Amino acid sequence: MKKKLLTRLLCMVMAAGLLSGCGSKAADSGQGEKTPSENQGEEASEPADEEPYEVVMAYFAMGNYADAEAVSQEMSKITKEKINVTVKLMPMDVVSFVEQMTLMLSGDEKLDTLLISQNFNMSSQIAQGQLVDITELVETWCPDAVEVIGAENLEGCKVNGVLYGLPPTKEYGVEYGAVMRKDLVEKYNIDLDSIKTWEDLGDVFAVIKENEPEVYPLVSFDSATSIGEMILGSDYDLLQDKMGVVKLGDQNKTVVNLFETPEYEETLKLVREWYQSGYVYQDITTTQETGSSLMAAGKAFAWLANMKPGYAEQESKNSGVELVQVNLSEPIACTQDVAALQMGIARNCQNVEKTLAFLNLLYTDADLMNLLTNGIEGQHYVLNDQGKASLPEGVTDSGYVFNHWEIGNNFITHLWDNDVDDLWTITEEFNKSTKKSPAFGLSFDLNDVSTEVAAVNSTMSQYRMVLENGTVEPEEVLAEFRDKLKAAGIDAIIACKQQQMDARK
Amino acid sequence: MIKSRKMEVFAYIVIGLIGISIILPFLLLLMSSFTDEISITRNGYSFFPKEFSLNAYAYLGKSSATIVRAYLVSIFVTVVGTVWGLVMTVLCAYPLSRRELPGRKVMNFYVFFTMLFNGGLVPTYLTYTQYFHIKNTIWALLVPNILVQAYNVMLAKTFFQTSIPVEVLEAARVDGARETTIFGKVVLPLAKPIFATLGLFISVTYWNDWTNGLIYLTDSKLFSLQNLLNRMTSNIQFLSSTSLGGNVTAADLPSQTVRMAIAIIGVVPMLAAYPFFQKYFVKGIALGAVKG
Repeated sequence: MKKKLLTRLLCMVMAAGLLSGCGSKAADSGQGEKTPSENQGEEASEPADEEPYEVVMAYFAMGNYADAEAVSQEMSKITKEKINVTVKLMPMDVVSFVEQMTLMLSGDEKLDTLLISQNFNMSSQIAQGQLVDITELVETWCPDAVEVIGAENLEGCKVNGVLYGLPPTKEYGVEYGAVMRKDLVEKYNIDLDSIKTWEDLGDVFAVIKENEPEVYPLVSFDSATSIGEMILGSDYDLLQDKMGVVKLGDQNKTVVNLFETPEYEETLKLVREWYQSGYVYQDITTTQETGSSLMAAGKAFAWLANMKPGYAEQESKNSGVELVQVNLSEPIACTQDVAALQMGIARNCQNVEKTLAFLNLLYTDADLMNLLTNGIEGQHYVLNDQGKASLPEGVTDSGYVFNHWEIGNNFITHLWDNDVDDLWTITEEFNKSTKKSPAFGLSFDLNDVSTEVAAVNSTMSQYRMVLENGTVEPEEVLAEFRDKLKAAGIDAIIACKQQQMDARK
Repeated sequence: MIKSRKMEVFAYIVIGLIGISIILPFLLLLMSSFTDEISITRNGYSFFPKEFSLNAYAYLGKSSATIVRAYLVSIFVTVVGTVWGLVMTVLCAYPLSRRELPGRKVMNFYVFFTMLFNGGLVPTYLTYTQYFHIKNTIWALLVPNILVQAYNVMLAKTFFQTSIPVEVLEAARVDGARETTIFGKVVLPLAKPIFATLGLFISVTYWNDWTNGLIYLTDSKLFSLQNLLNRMTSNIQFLSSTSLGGNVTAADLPSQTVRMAIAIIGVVPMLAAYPFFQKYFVKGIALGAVKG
């Protein structure tokens, strides 16, 4: 409540600073008085169990969601009966989503549950008190969700000991490796089982380079990920921001400077060698093309990736070229593999309990989840003999396209006909087999060293990509990079992380 | 004489170069919308596509429901917004141009002030959504930020002041005309150039606007064409700059050529409308620009 007042006060001060803002100032203070009375009105009718509570759920979607309203109505039929709640889905495009959440959360607009993520300003939402602390509440209202997600994984979602959201069930980990074009692998009789280390990949690339001059043996997955990063990820938990990392399997849990490690040096050398031998796509640091579009154009043979079960199938589908995957690491679970996306409760929510009960249903009710992820049966998908979903005949442009990873318990939903047969079983096995990072379950709070973080980030963006993609000679540039990082204050960040790590031990 | 001749040649060369620098990218956009998708990835953009293809337009035709809808929304908003905005702007500017208006200076300053300062995004958003309830309505595309712009009011005001002599208005009054008659029968016919100029300004702003859609709309049924295009491109940017693991995939997003094609069909109406305004355009802006 205090924080809420503070935000509002800040709003007023800012508005009052400008003459023209007079109108807005009045608007802000007026609104503060108006909404609570509205709240009371709704809450008063609650006990009578007449008016179902409407849960507004905001999240981002990539495809077509024109029929979201129809799906909402179908979902409401289920939820109304079970917990007297109706649902209003509010899918948005990514950019719109970020913008809308900032705006909606700063007012008292109707919004109950939203997708939260470190990629979408979660830290500032927490700092401004816009998310509800559900640490205690989940035990009472979401017992099934807690069981499905697993207590250990849920622990990993906490920030400074406070839980703000529930992660979806998906693969809670990654395995590093490469995907390659199947036709070329078969054409040159490449024995995938013989590839055991990253160095072995070089020999494969050499074959392609020699026989297929039109094809680049190695490209990057997208312009945000480097080749070196994928190799290093199999050795270190990069703690998402790569400033101060932890070696996998390090029982002492020491935070180290990745860029000073011998592994980093070796990786750079390897990638540089690949680059100089012409294995790497020469425009790798400047291109806007994704690996999958280069693959579709027949210009690429492989890219390195952090993969999950069924990754090759998924990417084959996207690029239209059949791919095979080579795993070069064990399945590794880091904090962000679990906590990257969660459904949180907005400050604006007027009935936290009902909203949590609704989220809980998303982990147990298969019909509800199928509506959310696949749409309405018969209209957006039909089931075939094997129980897999596909587009109804004659439908090319479905009015409801969502995905299998963002929200709720995906393991209870129908698979699509181009998915691997027992994807969910494989994924569950995969989750059990993951090796947990020493820093698993820890989300760092770097507010104290935010100046250093900004400085280190800008240094990294200057050097990392060119080094890790092999476009420059590491011997000269790496020393310069290290000096600049020191000057930017990377040690302070490492110390800050170490402190938080020790505090938890 | 010779000197001015040289000047003229020089001026034409400069203007010619500027012209080319504007036309060439547009031409490239047009050509790439006709290029085969795979050919773009393989060979890059080219003015002379190796593989000519109408696939992008065929795709637009196929998923036409969304795009036609967005097109209609854009057209509706532009037509209604331009007419409405023009009426409001002129009705605001004309009185301000008359020296007899009491409190004219204060009101002038009030209009001018909004050019320099505004309430900022969040307060503006709160006011519009909580008091005017325009979120997810067609009003969201019409009202905020565009309807009456201070710059346009100033432009129109200056035009009325400088190009319509006070004597004409006085003569009309001597003949017994009242204010409404003066405005309707004397001022408006003389103000055609400024109408054309403002009309073009306002309609271009409405046609190109995507920010209002981004801020006030979540309902995909109301998206305008620019909004749709903006969402597509920013989604793709997001995908290539943020890694959410191997989770997010570009499967459902339109390809490069499709985006080019949408940009082309987005430009065409403005391109078609421009010549009709051009006659008045130079006159209006030159006259309005003189500060009086």
